[in-house]
Amino acid sequence: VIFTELRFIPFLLVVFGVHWLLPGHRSRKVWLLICSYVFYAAWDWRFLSLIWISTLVDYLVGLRLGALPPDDPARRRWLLVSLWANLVLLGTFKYLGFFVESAIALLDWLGIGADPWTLRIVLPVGISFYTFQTLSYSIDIYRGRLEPVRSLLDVALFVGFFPQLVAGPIVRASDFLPQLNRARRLDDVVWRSCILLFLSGFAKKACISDNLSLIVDEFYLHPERYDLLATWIGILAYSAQIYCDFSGYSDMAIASAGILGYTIPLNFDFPYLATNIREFWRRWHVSLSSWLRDYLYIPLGGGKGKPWHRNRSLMLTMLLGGLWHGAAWRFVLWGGLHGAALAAYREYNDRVPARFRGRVPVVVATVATFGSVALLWIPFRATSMADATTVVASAFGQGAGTTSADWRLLVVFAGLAAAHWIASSGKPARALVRAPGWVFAAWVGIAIACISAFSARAVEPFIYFQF
Amino acid sequence: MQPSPHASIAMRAVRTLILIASGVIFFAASAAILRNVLPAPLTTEADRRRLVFERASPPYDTVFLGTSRTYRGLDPAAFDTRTAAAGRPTHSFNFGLFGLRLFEARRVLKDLLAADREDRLRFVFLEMPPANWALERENLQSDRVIRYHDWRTFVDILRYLNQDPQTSVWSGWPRVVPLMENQANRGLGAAAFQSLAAGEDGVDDFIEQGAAELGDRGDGFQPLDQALSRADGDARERMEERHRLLLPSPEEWEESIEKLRKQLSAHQTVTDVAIELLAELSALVDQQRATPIFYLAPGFTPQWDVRGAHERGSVPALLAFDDPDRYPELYDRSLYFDKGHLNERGAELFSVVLADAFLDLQGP
Repeated sequence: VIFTELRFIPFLLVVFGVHWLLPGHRSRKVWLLICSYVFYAAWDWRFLSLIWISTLVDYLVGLRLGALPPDDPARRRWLLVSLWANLVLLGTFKYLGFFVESAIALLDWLGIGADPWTLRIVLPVGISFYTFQTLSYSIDIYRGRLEPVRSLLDVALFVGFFPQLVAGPIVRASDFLPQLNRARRLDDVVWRSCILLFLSGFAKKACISDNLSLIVDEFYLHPERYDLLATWIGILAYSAQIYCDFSGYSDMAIASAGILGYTIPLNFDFPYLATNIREFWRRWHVSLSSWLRDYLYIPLGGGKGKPWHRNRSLMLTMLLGGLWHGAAWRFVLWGGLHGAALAAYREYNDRVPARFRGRVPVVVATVATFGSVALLWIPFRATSMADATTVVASAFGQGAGTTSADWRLLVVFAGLAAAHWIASSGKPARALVRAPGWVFAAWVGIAIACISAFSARAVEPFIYFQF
Repeated sequence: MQPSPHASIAMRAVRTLILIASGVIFFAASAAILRNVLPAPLTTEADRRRLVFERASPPYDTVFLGTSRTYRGLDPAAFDTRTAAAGRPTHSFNFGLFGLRLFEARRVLKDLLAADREDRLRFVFLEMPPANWALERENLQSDRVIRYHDWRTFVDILRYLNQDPQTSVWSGWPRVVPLMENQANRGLGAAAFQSLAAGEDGVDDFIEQGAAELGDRGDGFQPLDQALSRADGDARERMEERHRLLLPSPEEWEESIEKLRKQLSAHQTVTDVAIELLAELSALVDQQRATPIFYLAPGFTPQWDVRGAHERGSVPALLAFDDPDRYPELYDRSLYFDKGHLNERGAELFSVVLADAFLDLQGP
């Protein structure tokens, strides 16, 4: 079920209605868990077993970790059980085919014949997200930052909660599990914020991302055909598409959880207004970047030690972050390029005195950061390295394509950028939340009419479903 | 004095209902404004044919509006040749659409007549829809179905279902979705954006994309055997399979004709809603100062009792070719691509027979 599909609305309304009509907190949690599994089973019921395995392993590991004294060496072994189980699941279903194919290609390149066999493993939707969630549960208990939960129901709901199950945000156990201890109250639901967030997420996905996908798909099908203007329109279109697609999903997930009384942290904070690459990563897919920081970058040494060590940790984190997005070398390259950009920015910060750094106008810094990020999306989206090279060459006027595009599309992008900037102040949202009831109701009516009219006819799957 | 908890809940419920009503009113008003502001989308085959009809030079004065039996089985050139030979020349266009529904025909006809800007239309031939496909059951979310599901059509459909003894009015509930999508202008603005994204003249591109479907002469006629000769890959395989499976053996063919003879005496009764719709189609053509002529194409699908409708005055002019005894030449197996559609030769013959009947109807 895709959030922008028509069938999701009645699903959500039924879940919502029954949830709040049920008398007890426990019965509501059971209901939510059943609905979450139904939601996932609508895609493929067979892969529910993977969620159950992940849930059960981390539940048991959590109990064992909680039962052992802090200095007991067995704790480490139990943590390894969790890491091993989750990473084997992830490795098998997401990366095994990739590694096998890469190994065969390498052997072939070395002149050692290998039987060309490929694995046809279906990637279970959401596996990258929920395995990271369950890992955070075990690791936090191991570190003594979280008490193990005795209720299997709570752990199962933490892993399987449908709003964030298939494409995040990656919710930390320490953020979500405490919410399950206290009965949720309908009066605590922040209605207007939830409605506002849901509609803005829906608009981003259905009206912007899905419409832009037509341009992007056409462009990346034959990137060699396009001239400079069309190439930049293709690059800008994908930058807007992936942001609106993923942040739109996150907004709807947060809003859906919100009307059920649960809080999921924000996943995007207007990332294209970042003035440097480090700030971009603090605003983009916050739940993943903070997860990588806390569970990978810092254990690898973080920002401590010699510059070489710091940069090594950074590069390793970003390379693995790239690989997390998909089992393909282009994602690794994308992660590596971002790692290099982050390392370069750190060097710049270390070497250039603050008084000089402060002289770069914010507009220039923002445009430069966005431009870099947009160019770095090229290997992420291109279907091959050759295509990525072609797009980069065309973007710098070295292409041979002649097909142009309508310049008025640039006006559309300018409008989107303006909307991004205006919304970032939070003033429009605050004004609507505080407005008289009838004003808010009128806005909702007008917004739904506009969303419906400008929604693309074909509902595209969310880009991050494939990750 | 504190209000009781029940009074408080009631007040909140009333307030919520008022807010929801406000939202609905603003939604409806915004949707109505958007419908008038946004350009009409070009997405369906009916749009393409309407544009070709509208841009034709010289303009067409005769049009055949019908199903795939018209699209595949009525050759405007053969028709025009015959009328010209009789000294009453026509310039005709084939506006056949796959599975055109009676409820859809009103919308299509309105658009078609609006495209006749120079009032050059003299004759509008309307193929009578077979009884068993008055309603489509598939693709309720297609652009085409959504386009004609306005409130009026929705109510007509419910009335139709209510009157039809073979169906239940409740079987109309899935139509709430296309009705909602119609009222919410689903995708109207997106279509405008996509035209912009296409980067060129959207109308020219749109016509060009489906030019092959309009036949060699661009008059909308493309017989199935011609389409088969140009198809390749999966499309060709599907058409060959259709030809093989749906064209009965000679023995089965004779049995089908015998069955058709029996069916002729047991036509399915036409409902009041259908009669009203047929009368409305007729009136729309009259308003354009053109002449409506209804016809039953040759074929084996069970028909409505349109002769009854004709006798009641809802169908002023009716040319029926559904009788194999009256038109044995139109029921020769060699003239068919499959059981439902004539082939190129059959289309040519039917067009001549139709032209003769039309000339007879006009009188000396």
